[in-house]
Amino acid sequence: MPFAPEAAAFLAFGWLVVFGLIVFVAYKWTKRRKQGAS
Amino acid sequence: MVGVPILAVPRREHWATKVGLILAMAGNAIGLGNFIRFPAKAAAYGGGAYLIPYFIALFLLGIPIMFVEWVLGRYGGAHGHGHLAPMLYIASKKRLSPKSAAWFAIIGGAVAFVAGIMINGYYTNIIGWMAFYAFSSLRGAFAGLKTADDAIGYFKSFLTNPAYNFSTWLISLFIIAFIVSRGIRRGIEIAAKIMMPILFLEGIILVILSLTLGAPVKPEWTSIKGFEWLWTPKLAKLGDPSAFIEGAGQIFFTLSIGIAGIIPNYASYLRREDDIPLSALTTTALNEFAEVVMGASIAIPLAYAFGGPELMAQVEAGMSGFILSVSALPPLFGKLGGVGALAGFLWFSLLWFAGVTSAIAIVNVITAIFEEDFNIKRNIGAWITFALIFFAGVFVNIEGAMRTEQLTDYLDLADFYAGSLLLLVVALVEVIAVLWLWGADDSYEEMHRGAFMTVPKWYWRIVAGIITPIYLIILLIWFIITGSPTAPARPDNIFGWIAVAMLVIMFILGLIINRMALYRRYGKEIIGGV
Repeated sequence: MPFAPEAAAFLAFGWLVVFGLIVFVAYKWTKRRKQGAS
Repeated sequence: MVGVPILAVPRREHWATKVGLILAMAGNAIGLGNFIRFPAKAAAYGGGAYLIPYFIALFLLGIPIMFVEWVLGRYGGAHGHGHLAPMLYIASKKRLSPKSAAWFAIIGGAVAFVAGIMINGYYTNIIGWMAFYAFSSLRGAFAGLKTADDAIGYFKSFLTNPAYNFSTWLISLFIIAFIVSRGIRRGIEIAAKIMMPILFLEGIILVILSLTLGAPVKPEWTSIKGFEWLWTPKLAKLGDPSAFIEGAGQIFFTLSIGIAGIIPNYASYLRREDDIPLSALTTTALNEFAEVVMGASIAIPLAYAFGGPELMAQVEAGMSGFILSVSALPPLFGKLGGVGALAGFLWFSLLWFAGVTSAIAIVNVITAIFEEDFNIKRNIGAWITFALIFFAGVFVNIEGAMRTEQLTDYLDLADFYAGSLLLLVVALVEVIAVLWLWGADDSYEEMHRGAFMTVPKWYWRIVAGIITPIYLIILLIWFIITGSPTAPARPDNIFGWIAVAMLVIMFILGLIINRMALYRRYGKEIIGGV
């Protein structure tokens, strides 16, 4: 797929920040749930 | 723990579930701006590079103000308050005398009140437009639109037709007020649990469609090329301070921070030991997914497939996301036949859901004033709010019916002041109340009651306490200097002047209502000065 490298880099940057935030909150909720269960 | 004396705190509703709370908060945040404003601003201010000022604003402005509003709201709710004035009062009287705290709170509350009424006045109109467009798509009305000019003509003919314009607005406003009249658990929470999954599902279907559409108009105008065009960084644009101002402005709109105290209102239905930091961050994450991932993947790629680089040049030059949505997308949907009719319905109904879940929050915060401080039952208070918003919004309709030259002078002026300037004022007042008057240490301690994660103390003290207010003051000054000479700031016709009058009337009404509300609960200590 023709996709300019600089466009791909900024797309990756944007999505990395957003999905990073999602993974972070998911990790915290999971950790909390495990603590609650134990 | 530093507390305030609790005077006969009325029983308040609470969110039934954490999922309900987070979906309602996300619904509040995710609005039309995520899908039509963000991609247009990104296109105009640096493409992929726009994310640099945007994310800087998210971490220095958006997330700190989210925390401020959540902690102010939960603390206020614990003292029986669901709207801003009494929340500001109990937070600021720690450092101010009761009289000074009362004035600070009344003015802050009045600014939030005028912003809430005026924003919902025009915002519910736009929601009505989206309802009309969703059903127009289903009945194949876009098939006859061949060019962007056809589509603009179609929009103008709708706007000048009171039968359609008025009825779609009134029905949408009625649905919004009805949901609020049912209460938190039976109304807002249920609506969020139904509407938000639909919104995300529609968004994901549209992203897939948008990125796999190909080139229905010209072989070289593929939608994926449009996607690439949007993300291609124009780093030179970062040399323009406007990119940073616009990035910060977008963070305000997208997170619904500073808007009429709606986040504090929703947070007021938390229990005192409910988590704040992780829930607020989860809401932010959902909103960012809806904006950066979904919002950037629909309108621009589709518009590129319709109008190619020439249309994108207009977007880069500042064409609004809304105009893009009503000028480029309907003809494209019309060209795609049955799939296009369905895609058009999905797109405009997504915008309708996004708008409704945000407008509900504004109706609820005004309703809370009547319910909690004037002992008016919720199901009556919601309809009083309906009437106020009707009064503030009907001029958008009348202006369309009167066929003025611009058609939207009332809306533009209300949006400039209530939907932009006053958000910054409300946010600044909240940050000052929580970080400076309540105090960074006490508010930090309050925020961490029942918290599922710890916010670094330096982030609260330095970022939220110092950088955020400085950032807000710079934004305010910049906005006043650069915005004042522009067309939306000035009344150009009778409807512009009506908008000015309405802003003044609603502000005075806000002062009266908030003063009465505050004195009913805290009159003795304010007058006594103790």
